[in-house]
Amino acid sequence: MVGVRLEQARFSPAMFWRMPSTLISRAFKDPQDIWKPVNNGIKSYLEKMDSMEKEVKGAPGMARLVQHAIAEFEPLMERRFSAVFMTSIVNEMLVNYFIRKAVGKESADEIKSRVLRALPFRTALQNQAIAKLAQIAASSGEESIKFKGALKGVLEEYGSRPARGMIIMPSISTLREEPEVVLGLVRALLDDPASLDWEEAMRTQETDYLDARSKVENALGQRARGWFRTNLDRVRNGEVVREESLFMIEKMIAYIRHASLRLGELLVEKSFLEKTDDVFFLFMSELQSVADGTLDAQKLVNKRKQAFARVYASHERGQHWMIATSSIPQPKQKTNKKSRSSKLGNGFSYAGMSASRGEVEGTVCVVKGPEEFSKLRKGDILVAPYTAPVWTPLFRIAAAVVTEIGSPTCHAAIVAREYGIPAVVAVHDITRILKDGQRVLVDGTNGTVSIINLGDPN
Amino acid sequence: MTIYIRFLEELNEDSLPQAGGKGANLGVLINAQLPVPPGFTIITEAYRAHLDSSGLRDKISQRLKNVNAQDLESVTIASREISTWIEEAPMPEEIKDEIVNAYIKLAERMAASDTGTTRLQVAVRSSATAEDLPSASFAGQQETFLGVYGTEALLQHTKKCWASLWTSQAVSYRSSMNFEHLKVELAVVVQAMVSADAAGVMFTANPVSGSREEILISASYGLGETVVSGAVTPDTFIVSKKGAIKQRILGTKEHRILLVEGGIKTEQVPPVDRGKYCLTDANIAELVSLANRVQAHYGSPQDTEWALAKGTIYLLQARPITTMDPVNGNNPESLELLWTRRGEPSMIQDVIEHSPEPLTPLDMAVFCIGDRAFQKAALTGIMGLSAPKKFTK
Repeated sequence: MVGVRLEQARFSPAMFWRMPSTLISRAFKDPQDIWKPVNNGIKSYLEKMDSMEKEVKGAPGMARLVQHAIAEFEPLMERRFSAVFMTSIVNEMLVNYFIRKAVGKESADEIKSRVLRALPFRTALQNQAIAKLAQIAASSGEESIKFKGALKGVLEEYGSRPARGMIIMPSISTLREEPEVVLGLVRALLDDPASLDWEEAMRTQETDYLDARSKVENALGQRARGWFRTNLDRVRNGEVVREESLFMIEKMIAYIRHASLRLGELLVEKSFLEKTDDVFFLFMSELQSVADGTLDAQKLVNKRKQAFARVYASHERGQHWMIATSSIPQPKQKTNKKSRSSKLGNGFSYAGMSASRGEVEGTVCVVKGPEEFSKLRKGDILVAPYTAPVWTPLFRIAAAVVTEIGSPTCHAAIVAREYGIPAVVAVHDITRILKDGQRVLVDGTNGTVSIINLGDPN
Repeated sequence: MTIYIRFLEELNEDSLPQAGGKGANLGVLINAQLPVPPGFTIITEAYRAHLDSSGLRDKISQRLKNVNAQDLESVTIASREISTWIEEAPMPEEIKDEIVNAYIKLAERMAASDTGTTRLQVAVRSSATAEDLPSASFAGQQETFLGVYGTEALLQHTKKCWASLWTSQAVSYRSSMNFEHLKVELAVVVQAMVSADAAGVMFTANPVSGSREEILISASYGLGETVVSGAVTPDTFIVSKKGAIKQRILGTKEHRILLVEGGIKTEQVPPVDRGKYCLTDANIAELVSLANRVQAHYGSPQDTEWALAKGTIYLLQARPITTMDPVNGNNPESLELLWTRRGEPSMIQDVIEHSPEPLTPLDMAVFCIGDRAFQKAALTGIMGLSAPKKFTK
């Protein structure tokens, strides 16, 4: 594990009044309304950058543009965090209260997860678009003009999303640059004809959600019902907005990537660099001097690339790189580490964190990265080092998800709950422990994965 | 001179076509006077003769003509039939005699040795001749049977190893790679098993930190299979090449596989033993000296399997560490290790998910700016914390 620790904010007495007052004022606003101006701000950022780029000539100008794009990114990120951080917390507390009041403590958790289903958030829409694409592949074939047109449409809409990992990393290529990742997803979906019927799936989700919602509403008095409705809508909007804001950040990062690569090309033309994407191995403070020709970059870049290759190699061996911002409170994890091994005779059991409830038995399919997407078969247990938005169409055909990294609030968890499949996250080293073909029992409620049958080692 | 059997001492690195990778490698180790349990190899000629004597070769090639490699079901059915034929066909008498004689000779040697074993149990493993192919494991040549006792069982498991060439995965793999099915051959390694009190894996360099001055030992109770397959969390020891123990991490060691009469059994480790390290300082010292000998013999860091039985250390396997840097170990050791992934707080995990891959310098710039924006907006703006003294650039 390699880490970098960043400076952190400290305690101050102001938090006693600022946080409660923010929370209370937030409770009366719809997250959509708070988000909208920021969304517009990001749109005009993208337009402005495009028009500025047209004026740029030569590497020094491009270096200035990259720096400008990164500098302008900061205030928008600030506005995004202001808009999204801790929104709808009070609303959620109220929703929880009403649900408990309406259906009792025992079924509250289950109802809660159901009233948050069928959310029209960005990743769900993207997954629908990919399912539609798979439908076309099934009916007309991947070589058809219809499919190619539809693929182009998906890439236009979602092409700024990173092909691996999540946001914040301009060095990661986008879906537009790696359409194979989308094709991999399409092929995985083709294995399960039922998954192609996304309208049906959507309808089921929708019914499930409306059913749970009316169950709560019917049990409440008229005034409470009104409160519940407003607050639930705000919580749902809050989730949608959070996801949408990530999507917009990805667009900004994709622009920064695009501009950096343009700079890289210009530097290669001048023979200051050997390869376009060597530019990602420069620090921001060096960009200008390299573009001006006053700093010989290639030697530095080569040395850094070597070091990076070593870090990357250990990452592949399971020593993940991370950045500890220390900026977030770190509650002790609450997991139920009850081992099930005794129950299963000779089986081995591994504990992680519960991320989506339910219990299912299935065959392991270890997917280490986007290049292995098409390996997954219907009903397999998806075992992955981590997941990101681009992975989530796989959740439609997987019977359960197990990840090495993650928390109950991570993407894998959110989408697994959305699709109603069990998920266990943060299971140490699980992609190396489990082998394709083994039978395992995933207990999403208690956060454990148990090997039932060691399977055929081949 | 036997036709179908080679004792491990008779093998060296040139024996690969006859004895397979595993067999040849054990030959090299035993000839280097390393403490390898004795054994023998049933060479590829035996597999060939088995197919020829019972007319199986023609039967198989006929059967394969009717298999559609694209159709998994037809492959599965054919694979099952062929495996059954191989297991049921009578083994040629001369091969049988040689195997039985070799087994008896091995038993005599073990009884005469200081282990004093009277009931010889062996491990029967397939040893592929195609191990230099990166995908050989996928070709289905990985069968291992532990705790095999008696000549009948040995003959049966030998045939089972041969049959492992015909699993459905192996058949479809060879079809897709256009390998000729009947040209791929297999040797079988038969090796005396030591009744391990503890066993595990030892790297003669630390593949985690990259340091060549360190040895990394993983150890658990019973046979080493639990450690190799990752089925238990073993004890871990990091030791310097000079023998100083730098770090001990107690593993949970939930289960152990023991050699018992007539086979193996898996059982829970008593809680008292789970709370103790399974190796003493003297054991570790002995392992260090073994590590130094193995590495000196090969001249490069090795990944070894070992077992400890009645106070004696045995070497079961050695192969080069593939993930080691070619240059002298200087992995990012100098960078601070903040935490391992075990039991980290959930919030931290959210942060990793934002950067699940290593960052380049320019990524770092963008990440730091994002973090700064978060601090300003969320922590100072919303939560009312005071701003950090300085923001990291």
